[in-house]
Amino acid sequence: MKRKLIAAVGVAAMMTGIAACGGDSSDNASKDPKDRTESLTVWLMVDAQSTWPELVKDVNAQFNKKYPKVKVNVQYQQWADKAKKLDTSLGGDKFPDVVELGNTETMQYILNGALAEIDPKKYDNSDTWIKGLKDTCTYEGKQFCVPYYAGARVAVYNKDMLKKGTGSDALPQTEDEMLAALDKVSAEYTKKDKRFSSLYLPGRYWYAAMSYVAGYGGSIAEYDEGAKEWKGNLSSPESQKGIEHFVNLVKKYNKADQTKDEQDHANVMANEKAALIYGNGWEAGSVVDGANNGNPKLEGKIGTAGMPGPNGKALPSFIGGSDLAVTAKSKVTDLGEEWVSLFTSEKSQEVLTAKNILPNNEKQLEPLKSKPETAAVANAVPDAWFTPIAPGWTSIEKEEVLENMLLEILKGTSVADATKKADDKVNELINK
Amino acid sequence: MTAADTKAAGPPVPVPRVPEKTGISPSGQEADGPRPKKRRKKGELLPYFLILPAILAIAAVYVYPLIKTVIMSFQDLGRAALWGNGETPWVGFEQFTNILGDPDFWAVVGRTVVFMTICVVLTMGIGLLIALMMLKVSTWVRLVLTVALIAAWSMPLMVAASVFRWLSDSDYGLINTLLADLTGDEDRWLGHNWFLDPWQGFGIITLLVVWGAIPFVVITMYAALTQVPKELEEAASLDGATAFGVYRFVTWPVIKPVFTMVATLSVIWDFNVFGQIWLLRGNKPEPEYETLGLYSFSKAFESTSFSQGSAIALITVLMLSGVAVYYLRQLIKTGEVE
Amino acid sequence: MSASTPTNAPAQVLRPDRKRNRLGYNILALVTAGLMAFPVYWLIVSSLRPNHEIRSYDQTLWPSSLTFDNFARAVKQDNFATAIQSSLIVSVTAVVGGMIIATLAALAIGRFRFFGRKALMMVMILVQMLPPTAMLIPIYLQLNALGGIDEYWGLIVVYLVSTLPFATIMIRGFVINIPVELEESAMVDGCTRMGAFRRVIFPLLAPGLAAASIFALVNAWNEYLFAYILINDNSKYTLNVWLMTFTTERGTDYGALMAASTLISIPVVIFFMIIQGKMATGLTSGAVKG
Repeated sequence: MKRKLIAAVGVAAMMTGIAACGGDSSDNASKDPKDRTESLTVWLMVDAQSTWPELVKDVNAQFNKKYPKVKVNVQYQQWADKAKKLDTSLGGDKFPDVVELGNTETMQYILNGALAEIDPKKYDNSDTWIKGLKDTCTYEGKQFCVPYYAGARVAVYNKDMLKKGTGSDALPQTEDEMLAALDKVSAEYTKKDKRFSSLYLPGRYWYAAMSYVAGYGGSIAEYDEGAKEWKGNLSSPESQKGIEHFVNLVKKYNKADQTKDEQDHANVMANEKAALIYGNGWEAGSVVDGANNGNPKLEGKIGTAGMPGPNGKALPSFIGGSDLAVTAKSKVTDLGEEWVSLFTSEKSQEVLTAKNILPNNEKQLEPLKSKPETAAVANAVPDAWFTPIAPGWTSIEKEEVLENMLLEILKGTSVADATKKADDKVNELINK
Repeated sequence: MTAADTKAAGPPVPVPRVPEKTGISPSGQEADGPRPKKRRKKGELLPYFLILPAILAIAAVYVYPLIKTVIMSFQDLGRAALWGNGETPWVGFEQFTNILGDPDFWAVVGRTVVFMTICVVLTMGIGLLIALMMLKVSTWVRLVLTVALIAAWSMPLMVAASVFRWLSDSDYGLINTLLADLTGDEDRWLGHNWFLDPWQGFGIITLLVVWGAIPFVVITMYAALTQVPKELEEAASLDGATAFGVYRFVTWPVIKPVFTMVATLSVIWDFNVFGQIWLLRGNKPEPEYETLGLYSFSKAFESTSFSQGSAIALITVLMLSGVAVYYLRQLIKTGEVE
Repeated sequence: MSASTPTNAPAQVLRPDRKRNRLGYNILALVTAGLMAFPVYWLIVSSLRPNHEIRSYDQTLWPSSLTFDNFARAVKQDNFATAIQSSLIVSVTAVVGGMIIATLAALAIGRFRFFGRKALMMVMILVQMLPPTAMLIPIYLQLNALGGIDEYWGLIVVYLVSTLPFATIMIRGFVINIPVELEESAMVDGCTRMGAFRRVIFPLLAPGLAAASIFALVNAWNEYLFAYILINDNSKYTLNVWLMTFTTERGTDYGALMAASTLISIPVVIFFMIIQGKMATGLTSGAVKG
């Protein structure tokens, strides 16, 4: 039933794809660009408004040079309720032509036929798009969205604290050395402050837990080619080892509330209650940013480095990021594609990399690997892992299967029992 | 609060057979005849003109949505179909049987009823007491109190929830800091997570809900209390009525319609409570925090089918209609028998 | 405890025990006010604290230093001015429109016995019972069909209707408490129906209208979900939607959020100060029940 629906949607999407090239829009597409008079509505997340507004302005200017009479409406959306707004508006007439989607949410829109197929050839550097982002836009070999920017997780640490504990302000390269250093930092600081955590790793931080799972060679779920379906893999010995390792770190090093998730990361560090967090690369900036609840006194004292993981290797990071898509219902898909291609051009991506944001392609990522501010994050990209690209993944995230599993383990359930239970839940949700 | 109660509540009460004494004659000559039916044509139409704008406004926003909700609940409307990429199959009562047969649903209903009852009793009780107290205080104190109430009321929910979240935070919350100072037991309170145990967590949520609702209740009840004729109260107490007696026989009958209305609204709001729990749980409430409002939201927006959300909305209305019918009965009685 | 103390009669000579009672009530009322206002106090204090102290591990009741930086960032945030304008347009129209429509309906329900009266009341209560989140899509589709998406009037109608049941029933409660004779005598005295309404009925309805209009105002001023979903154009966002722009993927600027929230609460409090005099009129018009 479900598969049939997906097939039907695939056909529908394909037909819109064709329609975009021929069909009704051909009258418009064949028109002189100077005579096009439609309007193009673009939904970007509020981050573009707060962090790179000049890029939006510049791209709109470029676009209007070619299409002087097309009106571009950029409308900024908020993270809290954007999905609700998008879902609702796609049922009416005032939907966006171009929309930004988080890379974990694209699949739901692709599967339901909301996004138009795009031609990667029209976009700069599409041959080196970062895999973690490109995969979230690909379904059955077709491309439905364009990578926008990426993000990875690294060790963010307080240099002064590390130095006081170990005599060096660099983070050790292996996990064993790092933990030995953390023990010394703990001994130094916990004397004065019982709530100080040398490593602040909150217990419900599933992105970190799954990084340890990946580090031991485990995974959340695996695709079974024979049965053509996804199966939970959390109770496999490798995955269990990773979860065990993560929980032990939480219990040993986190002296604050161990049952939180990662949303207080930057705050803990800004309050000098932690020497090390495993966070997004940009959190190093948040810690010292006075306009972002950071502590300006720590300016210059926060460093980033690749997080050492188990077995002497670096800890594989989750790759986050955003994609841009053209909606299937849009009447100006060609204009949408053109706008997106300007917005993700090599030149546009340079604006992002100048702000230490990871670009959508390997080519422009390369120089960042040697730039001190971005080296740690950029180097985390090649080994990064991503959540299963399965139809039911969104429900698993929304039902917080992984967070609840971690919480149960922290409350005392054995890893074996908790992962078994989580696998059952994953199996129930992941294929529909 | 179940569908059975709704049935038991039965058809609406018949119109009290008190002779109509409140009719305004359209021409302004005299109080009209005893029976509304005997009124002249023009008089019969006037009330319809008066309610016309209200009807139009309600119809504009709700008529089609209500029909659509009913239709949707007998279908299986998924995202693809809403977005015009697929068929919407009819499924009969499947949505309803699925929901009613889901043990989770009944756990949610039970939790919602308990939560709602506690919140409504606290809100109405404290609210009424504060409103009565306002009659007894000096003018400037009353002004201070009402400004405090209005300031509290004017705080957007999102902001109020943030404040309550900070106050109750395990690591940097004022509540834990104060408790640790008061008891001297730092290990017990610093880092204490109020939301691990749903009872404690709902305690904080109740605090936010009740705090947020009290200003409305007090302001409204106080407005109603101003209608109580002072002379009557004084006469009653001069006649030797006890304080409670005065309240019971003089004050209460006057404020009862407003009280019943506010209580009914509180029941409805607390039954459908959503934002407070959602925000206090950082936009991702754990299963043990799910009440009907959240449940209907997650079925409407987070599941594969919008139809489930519609079915739950209708089930909610059926459950609440017991309260509504009781209220309507009270409303009509208190309005006219008097 | 003599709860029968006649109050609010300034001319009344208070006996000592009553004075003592009043002092007790005054203290109790001030404590209540303090408790109710504490989160408001916390909001204002947070808006004046240096940003990183807001979620400090060592909470203090008073900030270490006061700063207006948060307010400066708040007013500089994009679309502040347009959001004020939108909120004013939407809220004022919704409140005024709602009060007029509700008063008319309340007069009809309170003064006339007509066919369909109970049905109307039932519909009004039904409207209140539907969980708003579940109704989001149907209401959206309805307004979409009427062309009300991304228009102020779409939002206004939604707010108006959502406060209509309460306002109507509240005002009706005041209508039925007004003796018909009062109105009739006014008309006998040569007032027209409109004149009778304005001079006699309206003042008696004022407390109810005041309470209902505050309710309507807070409802419209602070509503977020429909305001966000029904309006697309960023320059038409209302203040509560604008508040959300302080949250980006990189976290929330709490200091600016608290400062902004303090600023946008001010109009509501001012509105209340203006009409609170009206709410007390009922107190002095002891003639109500004759």
